[in-house]
Amino acid sequence: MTTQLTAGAPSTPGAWRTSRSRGLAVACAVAAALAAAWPWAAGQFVLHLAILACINIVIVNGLSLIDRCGQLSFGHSAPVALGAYGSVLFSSALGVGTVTAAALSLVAGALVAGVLGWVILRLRGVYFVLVTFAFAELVRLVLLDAGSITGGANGIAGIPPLSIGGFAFDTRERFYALALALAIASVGFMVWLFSRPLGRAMTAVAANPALAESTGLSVLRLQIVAYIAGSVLASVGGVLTARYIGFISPESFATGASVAFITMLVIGGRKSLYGPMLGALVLTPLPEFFRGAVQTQHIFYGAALILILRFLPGGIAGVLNIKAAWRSAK
Amino acid sequence: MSAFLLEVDGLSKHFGGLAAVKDLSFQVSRGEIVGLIGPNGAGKTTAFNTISGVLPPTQGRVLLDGRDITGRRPSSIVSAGLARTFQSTTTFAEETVATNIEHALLSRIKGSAPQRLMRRTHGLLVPSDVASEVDRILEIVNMQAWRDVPAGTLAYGLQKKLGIAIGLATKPAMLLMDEPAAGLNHEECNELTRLLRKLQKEYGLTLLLVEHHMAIVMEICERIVVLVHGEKIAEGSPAQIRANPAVVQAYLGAPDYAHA
Amino acid sequence: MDWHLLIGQATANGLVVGLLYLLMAVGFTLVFGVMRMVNFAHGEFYMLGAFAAYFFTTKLALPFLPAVALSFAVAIVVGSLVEWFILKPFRKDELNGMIVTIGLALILQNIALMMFGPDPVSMPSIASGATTILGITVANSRVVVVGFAVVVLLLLYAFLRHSRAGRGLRAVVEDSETAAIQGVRARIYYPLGFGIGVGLAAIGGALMAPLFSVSPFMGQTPLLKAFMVVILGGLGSIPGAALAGLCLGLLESYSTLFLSSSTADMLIFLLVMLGMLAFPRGLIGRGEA
Repeated sequence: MTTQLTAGAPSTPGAWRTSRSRGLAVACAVAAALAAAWPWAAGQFVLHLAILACINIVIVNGLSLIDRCGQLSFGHSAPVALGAYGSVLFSSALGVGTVTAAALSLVAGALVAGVLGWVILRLRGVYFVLVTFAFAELVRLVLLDAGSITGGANGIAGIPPLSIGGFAFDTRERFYALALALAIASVGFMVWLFSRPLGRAMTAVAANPALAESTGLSVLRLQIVAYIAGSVLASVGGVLTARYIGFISPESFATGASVAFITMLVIGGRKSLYGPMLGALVLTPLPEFFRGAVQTQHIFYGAALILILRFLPGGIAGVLNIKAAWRSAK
Repeated sequence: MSAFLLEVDGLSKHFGGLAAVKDLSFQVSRGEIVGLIGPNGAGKTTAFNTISGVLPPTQGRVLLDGRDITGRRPSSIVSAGLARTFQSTTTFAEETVATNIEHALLSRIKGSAPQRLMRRTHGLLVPSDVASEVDRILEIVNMQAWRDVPAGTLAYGLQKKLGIAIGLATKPAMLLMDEPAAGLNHEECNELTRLLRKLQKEYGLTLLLVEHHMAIVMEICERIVVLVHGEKIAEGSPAQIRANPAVVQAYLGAPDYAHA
Repeated sequence: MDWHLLIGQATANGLVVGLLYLLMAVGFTLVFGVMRMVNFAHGEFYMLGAFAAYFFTTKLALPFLPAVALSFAVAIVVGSLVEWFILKPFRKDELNGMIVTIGLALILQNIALMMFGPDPVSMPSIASGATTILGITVANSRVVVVGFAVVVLLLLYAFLRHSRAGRGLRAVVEDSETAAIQGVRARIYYPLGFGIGVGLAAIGGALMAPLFSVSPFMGQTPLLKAFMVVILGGLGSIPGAALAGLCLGLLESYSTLFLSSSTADMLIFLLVMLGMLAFPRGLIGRGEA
């Protein structure tokens, strides 16, 4: 947390700054731990929102990973759907445990992403966007159509909860622990990855693909890796969704979902590694403020997207950076 | 080890009906500095793009140290040891000079994912040597003072030098340079000439230049290939080229210009 | 004997749908060609056109053709204003511009939802009865719509070919580099291109409104079809988009003779994927602005 928040600070020599930023780090960590623990004390409704937010954090981190390698997927709901349906269908078809089924669906998702990515990542920018959008629609159509396997428009209900060796994640309190752990792990993974050569190679590809290619980095191969990893993260989110809500249908994975993920990424901040987390945290509970006025909520989303891109391209993370830098400069 | 480091054999590139490069053949020996000259639109940059993998050739072969690299992706050709610089400056504008060079080193880091992904086998670096390698390259191009400056804010001449540094960071056996002197002033040109000589003599690099700046070409190139309308019309030492009437007529113009 | 009828019927249907796709795709390509921006709100302008036509014919009791013309005018004005006030900052910023159009689509669709509710409404029919051409029975309303669509396309062709504004627009779309060199004034062409592009979508919606039902969600499918068409026909080529639109309509119509419509969609998507595998470099050459 520290490095990101004080990254914008001007360099001021002196021990006072180090102890100040260390103090800030400790304060942030304590605050974050308290905030993360709060839902357990705040009741079922808050737990519910917290779980959904954590699932979204994992999914949007996956989208961010793909974006940070230079391509933005406008069909991120597809791997989420594949993870959700995959884990449910594998366990009912093969009679395996929920975790094994989840693992199988992730492997299957990675394979699909690999093959698809190999074809479509040759396209740049606009064409890639169109194709990912079309592919997500296609997945939705297949799910609707293959009624005998997928339940069609009615979806699949009564999905049993995740259980590891008899321990079932069947209460919100337990599930939140799992979701929280995975959300934190996904953020940690992103921070770790982008400090490694692989992550830095992806950053280079995103910044200037032609130049990166000329320095011996294969844009296609790196983007395929990012696409597979990002899709697997999304599929994890899909598995969690299925096992938490207990019901899935093609409509939960329609274009609206892809748009929601992009909105979270953009509003959270595309440049920051913490953007996805911030976007998911802010936008997941938002429907509650609009209590039923769905149209107003969506108009707000649309307006927020436009205004943020226009005036605050760094998103919420960008705003936080400015505040932290200003504070340190005083 | 093949006799020549680079062999271009019958290279042709057609765009629809237009033949930008027609049946181009020449060789470059290890440690040579060869110049590729010709009037604008002669197909020099297209030839470069085809050799370096940016464009697939319509016909012909390109061999690097005996290995066929025809039509391979640019990153794969770089991994094989052939790097290039660009006519217009291209850098990772928002990153510092040092980070720019680091990016170019990534596929050389032993055991790293980029290295394994690119299956690079030569010129590998141990992770702890990355920083010193960056310093070494900065020293070669004499840019240590600008190490922490964002690349996009550099003056034009420095950006071009950074482009060369980025090319060097891939530890190539051979460097293709697309108009390295374009836009440089007199002092910068002298520095460029010194740098090119240093690269050849001290670092054993083989160079192929596309250049319009005749003084530099005549001074530093050991051999010159002349391209007009996509075809090679002459090849030889600077003296031979200067004296060649076809070349003079097509490109060099009056004799005293050629001696500039 | 039956086959002739089936195929003929499918052709007739395919042409109607193909014309719609054509209108959507050409408008979409215009917007992309001028602004290098994928317009995710394109489907919502189609919907806007349909609702405008509905409004003008039912509430203001205008005849069909003037209603369509008025819808077109409204769309051009709204489109130009949107471009000027909302999209202008993103003229050089493709990706963020696309995301902004998503926001725009959200806003437009939900305004329509708030004004008209989610349930589909139907327009009064514009012509009754049916005609038989070459042994195929076609509803008169469809004949009228096809007729109007052809007129619109002819006018568009004339505009792009023979008017100064139209030629300039084409120049910017098909070869923006040369256009820039020749000093074609981009400032006018951005709102004009966007306005006409979405205007064409609105005409598509207005024309199709009496044939299909009108609802705030009706823009989704045409948007997706426009995407498929431009992938097939190439962004930045107006004739390519037109041809691909017609072909897609016919292809869909024929394949529904044998397959369910979603299977047909899947096959077409697979075809597009295979096409991309076959011509990857060609598409890359066009893909990057």
